[in-house]
Amino acid sequence: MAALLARLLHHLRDLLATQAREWLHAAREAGATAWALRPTGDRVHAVAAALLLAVVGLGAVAAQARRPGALPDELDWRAAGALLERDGRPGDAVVVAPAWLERARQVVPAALPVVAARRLDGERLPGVRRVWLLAAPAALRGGGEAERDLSRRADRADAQRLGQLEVIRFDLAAPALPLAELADRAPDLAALREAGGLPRRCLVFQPTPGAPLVRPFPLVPLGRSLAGHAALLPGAGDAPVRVAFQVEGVEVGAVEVADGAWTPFELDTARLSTGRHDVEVVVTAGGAAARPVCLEALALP
Amino acid sequence: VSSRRRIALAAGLAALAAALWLGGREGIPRDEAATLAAGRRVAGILIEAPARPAVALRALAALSGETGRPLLAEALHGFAAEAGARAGLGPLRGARLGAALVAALLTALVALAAFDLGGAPAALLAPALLWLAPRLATQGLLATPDVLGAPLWLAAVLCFGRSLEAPSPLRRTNAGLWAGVAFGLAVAVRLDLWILLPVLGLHWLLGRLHLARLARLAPPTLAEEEAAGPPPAEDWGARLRRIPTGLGSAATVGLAIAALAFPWLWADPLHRPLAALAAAHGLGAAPAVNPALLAAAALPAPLLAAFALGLLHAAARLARALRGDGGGTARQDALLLLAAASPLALAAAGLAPRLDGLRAVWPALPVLALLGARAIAAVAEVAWPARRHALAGALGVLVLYPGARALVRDVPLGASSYGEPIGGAAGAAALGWPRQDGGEAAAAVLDDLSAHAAPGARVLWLGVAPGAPERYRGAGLLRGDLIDAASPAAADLAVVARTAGSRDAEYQAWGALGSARAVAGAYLDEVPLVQVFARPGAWR
Repeated sequence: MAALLARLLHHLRDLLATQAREWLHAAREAGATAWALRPTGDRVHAVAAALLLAVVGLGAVAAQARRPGALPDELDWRAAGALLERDGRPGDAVVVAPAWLERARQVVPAALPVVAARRLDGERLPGVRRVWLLAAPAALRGGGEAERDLSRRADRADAQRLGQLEVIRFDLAAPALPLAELADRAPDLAALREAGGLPRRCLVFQPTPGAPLVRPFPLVPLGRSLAGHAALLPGAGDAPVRVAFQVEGVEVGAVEVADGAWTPFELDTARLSTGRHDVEVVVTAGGAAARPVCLEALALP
Repeated sequence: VSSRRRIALAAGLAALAAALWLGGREGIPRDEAATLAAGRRVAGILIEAPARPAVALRALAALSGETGRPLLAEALHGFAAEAGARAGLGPLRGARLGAALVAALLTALVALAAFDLGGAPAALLAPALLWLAPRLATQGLLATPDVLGAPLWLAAVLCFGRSLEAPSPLRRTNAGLWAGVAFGLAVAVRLDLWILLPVLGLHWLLGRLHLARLARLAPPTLAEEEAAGPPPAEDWGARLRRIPTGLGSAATVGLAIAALAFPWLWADPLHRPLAALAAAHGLGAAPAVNPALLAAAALPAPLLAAFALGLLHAAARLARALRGDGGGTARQDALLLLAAASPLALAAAGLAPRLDGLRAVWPALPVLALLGARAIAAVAEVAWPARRHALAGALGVLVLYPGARALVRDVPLGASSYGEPIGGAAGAAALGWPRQDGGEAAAAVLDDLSAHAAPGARVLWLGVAPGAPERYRGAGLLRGDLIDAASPAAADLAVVARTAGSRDAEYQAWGALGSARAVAGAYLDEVPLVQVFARPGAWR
C-alpha cells in the first residue's frame, strides 16, 4: 500500500514538473512575442504625447471648475456690505486685500473710505480709529502684507468669515487724529489726486518759478507737530519745489520735493505756545517750469 | 468640390457668421477706434482720388505720417465699414464687417493649409485651435490691422513653400510671385511684418547650407552623371546657385507694394523708413508685459500644450528629414518653424511692436494652430492607428473644451481673460498685468448705464477709446440722451475703464462727483475691469 502511494506521489510530481515546464515555455514564448510586438519608439512618444494632452486638458477643466468657488460671490459681497453698514461708524476705514479687490467699492457704505494698498506700513491713515480688513483669502496667494502691517499697529478685535470673504476689524493702538487738516481750510485748493499710488486729499499748488506762492491759513490749532506728505503731480517741468511752513511769520521748517514720490515730513511745533496760530505755506520753485505739488499737511496733537 | 475645399468653405462661413453675430456686442478698444477713424478718412480720400489725384496723394501722405503706419488695413476696414453700414448691419457690426471677412479668410486658409499638412482631421482641428480661446476669438472680431496681417503672413509663407516644392517651374514661379505680393500686402498692413523677408532669407540660407552638405557628400555620383550628358534630376550645384523666386519677389514687388501703402515715406525715402521701422518695433518704449510672456499666460493651458507639441513635432520631423533624404519635408518644416517662431522670438527679445494684448504675436498664431493640429492628428495616427479618428477627436475635445468654456464664460470680456496656470484674471491682477486691451470692457456696463442714469446725465469716459461712446450710442447700446462730459467738473457720471498707468483722472473724478462709491461695474474673476461712479442724484 505504501509502495503504491509512493509511486502515485512520484507520478504526480512528474506530472506537475512537466506542467510547470510547459507553463514556463509558454510564458517565454508569450514574452518573446510581446517583445517582438512591443510599441516602437514613435508609438511610445505618441502615447506619451496623447496622455500629456489629456492630462493638461483635464487639469485645465478642473482648475476652471475650482476657480469660482475660491472667489467671493454676489451673496458674500452683499453680506459684507450689510455687515459694514451695520457695524461701521465714523472714523472707520476699509482696507481691501488683495489690493485689486476694488469690487468692494460697490458694496462698502459711502461713508467708509476704501483703501486699496498692498502695504500699509507707511500710511498714517489720518482720522481713522478702526480699520476693517476686507479680504479674499483664496486670492491672496501669500500676499497678506496689508494684514501683517495692520497687525503691527492694531489689535485684532473681530473676525468674521462670509463665504469666500473674511472681514477682520482692527482697532488702531495709536490712531493719527489731527487737530486740523489744512486741506479742510482751503476748499478752493483741495483736490483728490493720485500720489504715491493712492488717492490723496491734498492741497494742490501750482508754483511759478521765481515767484513764491504764499497761502495763509489763519488760526490753525497747532500741537506737537505739523506733519504730512508732499509729491509733485504730473505736468511739465522738472524743477524741485520747496514747501516752507511759517508760523506767525517765522519759518518752522520746509520740505523739498523733486519727483512724484510721496515724501513724508514732520516739523516740530511743540515749542510754540498751545492754541491757534496763523500759518503760511510758501511754495517756491526754480528752473524754467514747475509741476504742481500735492501737499497733505496735518496738525498733530 | 473636394473635401479639402468643403471643409475650408464650411469653416470660413462658420467664422464669418460667428464674427458677424458676436461683433455687435464686443467693446471697442482704442486701436480699433483709431483704425476705424483713420479708415473712414482713407476711404473718403480714395473715393475722391480719381477727381483730384494730387490732393488725394498729399492727404494720404499726411494721414500716413499722422498715424505713423501704412494705410492698407485702414483702407480695407474703412471701405468695409461703409459697405456694412449700407448693408444695414448697424454702426458696430457694420464697422466690423471687414474684420468678419478677414476672420473668414484666415479660417479658410488655415483649414486648407492644415488639410495639406495633416488631412481632414487636421483641417477640422486647426481653425478650432485658432479661435476657441477668449483672447483669440475676441481679437478676431475687431477691425484692427493685426488679424489682417496674420492671413497675409501665412499666405506669404505658404506661397513661398509652394515656390520651392511645386512640380512645374511655371507653378513655382507663380507661387514665388504670389509670395512676394502677399508679403508686400502684409507689410502694407503692419510694418513690423517686414521681418518675414529676413526669415525667408534665413530659410534659403539654411537650405543652401544643407544643399552644400549634400553636394559634398555626393560628389562621385554627380561627376558620373554630368559626364554622361543630360543634367541630373538632383543637380545640387545648380540648386545651390538658384535664388528662390519668392525671395526675389518679396524683396522687389513686396517692398514696392508696402511703399505704395505708406506715402509718407516717399518724401524722404532714406531716413523716414528707418524712423518708421524703429517706431514699428517700439524701440525706446517699454511694453507693459512682454507679449510672448503674455501669450503664455493668457491662453488656455491645453492650447499652449497643443502649440508646443506642434513645434516639437515639426522640429522632430525636421531633424529626421535632415538625417535622411526628405529634402522636401525639411524645407517645409523649417519654413513653418521659422514662420511660427520668429514673431515669438522677436517679442521675447523686446523687439515686437508695442501693441496691446496678443496683437504683436498674432502672425505666429495661425502657424502654431496648423502645427498643433497636424501634431494631434499624427499623435492619434501613431498611438492608435485603428482608432485614429476617434482618438484625434477625443484629444481635440480635451484640448479645445477649456478654451471654449472660457470663451462662453468671458465673452464679451474676452480680452481680459487669462489662462489657468496664472490663476485667471485674478492672478494677472495680482501681478499688476493689464486688465484689458484698451477700454473695451466699458461695453459691459452700458446696459446698467442706460437703465439707471438720470435723464440727460453727462458722462465722463475715462480709459475708453475716443469715439467709442458715439458708436455705442449709434448701435443702440447706450441711451441717446446721455451726453459726453469734457471734464470731471462737468460730469454727473464717470465710467472708468481700468487700464494700465496713472489713475489720477479717476481720483479727480471721484473728487468732482463727491463719491468714491461705485454704483455699477463689470468684473472678471472679481477683478474690476470697469466701474461707474455717480454724483448724488445722477443714478436712479
